[in-house]
Amino acid sequence: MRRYVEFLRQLDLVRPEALDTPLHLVGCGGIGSFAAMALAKLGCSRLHLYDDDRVEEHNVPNQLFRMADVGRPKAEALAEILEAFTGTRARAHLRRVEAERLQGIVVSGVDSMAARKTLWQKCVRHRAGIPLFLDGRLGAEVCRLYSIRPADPDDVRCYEGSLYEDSQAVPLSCTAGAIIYTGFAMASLVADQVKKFATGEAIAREIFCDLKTLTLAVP
Amino acid sequence: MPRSSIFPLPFAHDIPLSDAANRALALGTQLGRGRPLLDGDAHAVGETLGTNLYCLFDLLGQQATWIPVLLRRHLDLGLPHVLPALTVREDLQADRLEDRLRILREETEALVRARQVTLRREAREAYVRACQERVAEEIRFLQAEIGFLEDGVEEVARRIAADTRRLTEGRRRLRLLHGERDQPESSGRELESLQALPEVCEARIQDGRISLITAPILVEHGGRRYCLGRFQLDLHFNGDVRILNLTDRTGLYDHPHVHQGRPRLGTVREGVAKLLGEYQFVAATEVLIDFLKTVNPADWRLPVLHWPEAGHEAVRGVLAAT
Repeated sequence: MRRYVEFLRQLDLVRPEALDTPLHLVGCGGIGSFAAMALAKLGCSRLHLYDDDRVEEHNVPNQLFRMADVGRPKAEALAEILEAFTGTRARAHLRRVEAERLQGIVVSGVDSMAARKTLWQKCVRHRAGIPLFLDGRLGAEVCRLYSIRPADPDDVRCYEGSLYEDSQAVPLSCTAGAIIYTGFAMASLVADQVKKFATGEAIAREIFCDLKTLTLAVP
Repeated sequence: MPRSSIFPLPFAHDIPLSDAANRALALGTQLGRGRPLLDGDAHAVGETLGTNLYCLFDLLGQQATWIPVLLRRHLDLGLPHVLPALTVREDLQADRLEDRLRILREETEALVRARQVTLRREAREAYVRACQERVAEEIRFLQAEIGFLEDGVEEVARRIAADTRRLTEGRRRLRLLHGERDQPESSGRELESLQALPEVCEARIQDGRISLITAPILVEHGGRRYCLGRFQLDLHFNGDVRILNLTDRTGLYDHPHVHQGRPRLGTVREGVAKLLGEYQFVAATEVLIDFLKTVNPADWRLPVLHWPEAGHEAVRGVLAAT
């Protein structure tokens, strides 16, 4: 009953019980920290946060962390922030996800293509227990979100076609790599896709957002 | 019956008469005994008889704004003819009357000019209004037509996109099938890949299906591990899937999500059907084995608690046989 009162303003958009699927956020940085907050605010209560990294000062402007979190494990600090803001008790896992069985929606917010490939090949590809895999990619003012059903061959082909070597990535300057509002945009897209999955709405396999030109496209 | 005939008179005194009253009495036996008054078009619009001045058309039936002008012009035309009789009868000075009539004519013409200016202004305003209405009407028409065309273009674009996808998919599948036909060894490799999956103990082809025997399947739930037993997966070439528990069936349930061999595949149903449709048996098997290793209390048919925990004597027997 309490949850219905809490989420009164969105009951006709998504019911709280529809968001009971476990959610695994792999990476708690520029994508994962904001996405976790959006998902917790949305009403997702079974959140798992994975990251083996610690908060550094340069993370504060473009990730959700506070100055007081500098030096702490990202997953632990993020879980604390989520609880303070939403009452949601996320489980913090201070490690990378490599080869393990995850069950539920997986949100990838890792920071390299190599990590993405490992996550995809060892944990996600052809996994029946993962109904939806969201992979976010940020670059300065541009973001792209893949929403993939790991058992669907069309989705698998699309996603595997998007994986490339880190050496092929367009290099961005260290001082033009990440900015706060792109993380917020990505978090909105992630929350929107999770809501659509929960309500059985159609999900776009790929969404592209360019905040510089204010372009939102579904290729 | 009228005693005088009537003839059409569209103009009198150079002024258009109203449609409802654009006729005049003809001079004849009843009329015409006096002096006819002809306007600029040489139409008889009146006559004078003694000091009487007659109007042959319906003056009061005209537009209200034209009536004073028509009356003045009629008087301007007629009064000079009755002036001699009037001067005699009323003992008026002819030269002063002439001057007075000239001034009245000038006033009439000034009135006509003012009226024409007003008419031109009204005509201009009416024309501008008509043009604006015509432009607005054309804008409405074009907007409706553009909307209709845009809908059509969108529909065509959707059809092109859909047909392009079908074309691409058709070509891809044709290449796949050509590859299958031309390279029978690839089918052999597919079977070897199936047999190489860690959870698959045996794979064989029989009666239009691939049958796989799995190793014992263990699942975790609530911090405990359960052994669900060995399974036979039947992947039919027509896309059908049957899953039978060979060792630890619980009543009619082969698995928490499988009842009498029929799996409730949930969100992976479509994916498995597509994989089987593409003859991707290895991928389909990976999905199905992961399905067997996954239990979801939200939609299981029989709770996993009905199966023995790993470590139980009966389970150890199954594990030892692998």
